[in-house]
Amino acid sequence: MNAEPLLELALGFALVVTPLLLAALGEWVVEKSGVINVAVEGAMLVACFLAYFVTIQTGSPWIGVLAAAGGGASIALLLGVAHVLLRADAVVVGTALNLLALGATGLAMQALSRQGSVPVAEPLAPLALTAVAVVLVIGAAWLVNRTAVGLRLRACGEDPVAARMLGVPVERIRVAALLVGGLLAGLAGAQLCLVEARTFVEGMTAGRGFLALAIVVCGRYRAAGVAIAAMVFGGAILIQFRVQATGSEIPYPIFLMFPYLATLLVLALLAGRARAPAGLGAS
Amino acid sequence: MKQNAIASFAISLLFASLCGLGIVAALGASPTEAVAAFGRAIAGSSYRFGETWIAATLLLLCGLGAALGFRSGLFNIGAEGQLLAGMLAATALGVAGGSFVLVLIGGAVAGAVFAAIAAVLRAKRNVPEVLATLLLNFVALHLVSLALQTVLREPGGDLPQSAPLLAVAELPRLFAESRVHLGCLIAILAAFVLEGVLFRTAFGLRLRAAGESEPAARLAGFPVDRDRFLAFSLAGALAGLAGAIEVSGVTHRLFENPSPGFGYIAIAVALLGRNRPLLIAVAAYAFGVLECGCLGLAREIGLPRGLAQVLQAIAILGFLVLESRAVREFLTRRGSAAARGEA
Repeated sequence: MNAEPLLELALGFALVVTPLLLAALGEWVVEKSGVINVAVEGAMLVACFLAYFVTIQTGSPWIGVLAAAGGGASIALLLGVAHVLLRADAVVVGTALNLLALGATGLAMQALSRQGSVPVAEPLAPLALTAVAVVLVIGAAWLVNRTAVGLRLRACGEDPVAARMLGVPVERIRVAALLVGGLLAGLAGAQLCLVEARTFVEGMTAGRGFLALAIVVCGRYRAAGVAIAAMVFGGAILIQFRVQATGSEIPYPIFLMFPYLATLLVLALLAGRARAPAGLGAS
Repeated sequence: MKQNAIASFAISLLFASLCGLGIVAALGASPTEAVAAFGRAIAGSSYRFGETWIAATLLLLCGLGAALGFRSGLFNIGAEGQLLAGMLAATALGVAGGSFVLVLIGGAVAGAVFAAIAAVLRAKRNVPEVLATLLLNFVALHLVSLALQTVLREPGGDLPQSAPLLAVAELPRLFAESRVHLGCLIAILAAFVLEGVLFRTAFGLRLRAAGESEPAARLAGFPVDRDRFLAFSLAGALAGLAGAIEVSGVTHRLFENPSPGFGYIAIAVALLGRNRPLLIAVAAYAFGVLECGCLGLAREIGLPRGLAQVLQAIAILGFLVLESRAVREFLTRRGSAAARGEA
């Protein structure tokens, strides 16, 4: 038996799962601290653009990855300032940030292509960020579940008032969690852009950031659960790609719809038993 | 309180306009030319002036839907999907020969059904409505392209678009020289009706109670789940109606990607209007003007089209910051300190 197709399938699987896993892991840390970041999508989109732009400017995809991580973190920081420090509503600010990211990246890309400078970006080694993601899952699970910092973080998520009374700097921890989440969303965007597309297309994240939010719920707010859910969702997307590539007669929008319908179905089955941090959304 | 909201509103729009001028300059265009083009695009002719009302109509109806959700304590981020569902149903009915009344009703029903899916998932399966509505938006988007490639595709046409609606399905226009249609009046009427429903009926009171404090509403014996389900469906109906009005009043056929995120902008509109239907109408008009003006900039001096989205996002972020609890408390404290100083 030839191992080649199997290896290729495994590689394809890793490529699809990596951005989902990175983004969902970041969102898991954020939600554990009691904040919901709807702007994962926007952070990923900004990261995609910066990864592309910086890579074609410098010729180094790794500098592109750094820029992407910074871009993701800055969107998260905006949410941190508006929601955690100024106490505006997180979902609403997040939605506005998504709008901003979509508009601003589209604007920048149009300006760039008008100058005629839109080459294909230097590719990033395919499995580099996958390896980073695996390390990060273990690291984040250990940090959140087994360390003092993690305990404080979870306290902010479960009961911010009590945590504050015990002297936990709730705001600082939440902003830090958001920054971590933004960094990870940025890495997810870099993977989408530099490994798969190697260019930037308006709205290219196509809802992956929202899937990350669903993955956290389906993974029942546990690190292992998040990793498993990311793999299941990645598998669904991979099946979509594969069946689509066989050139079947089925109209392609059905394939595009498939991951979202599957997510809704999984949510309907699993969300009932997921226990969100009790202080999610409270300040 | 109300004056504060209007001040924040004005300041954030002003801030967004300044950012807009900055972006225009950064893109290498002349700001004075841009201002002139913006002006022509929103008030250069009766046709252009009418376009601002048409854009505002869509935003107003979707914004009313979003506000209804917020008032009841639920996040309806799904106006985009409900709008698309309304467009889809309206097109199907309009192509088949339904009158415009039927087209509008069909659109509203489709929007309501689409929203109800999320409401049921939330009530029965504990699925957060933020997630369900977001995911349904993508389902709707691909449903539109699916329909345009299969059942609704124009027979013999090359493009993925529907056949034009029959004449009976078109909304009557109000003036000869612009595209302003009956839907604009319907939207304004809807704002007044919703203001009445929210603040003058028992249902509205129960809904607002559920939004302010769910435990209190439950303790009072209000049927919170039923009311929220109704509110969610009604919100979907409003967004679906907006979609039907757009198809039957403006485009007269369905294209791929028919909405540049109106459903998301509508959330901002609802907030700028402080979830008060009549203020939402003002906010919708302001954003409609921004939309049309930026389209004009794209048309006349070739600026990229994402500009409107960016400026709208800046305006809403500015407003959210000005209206955030921390800033409000800070202003109130300073206000009361000043009052004590005077006394």
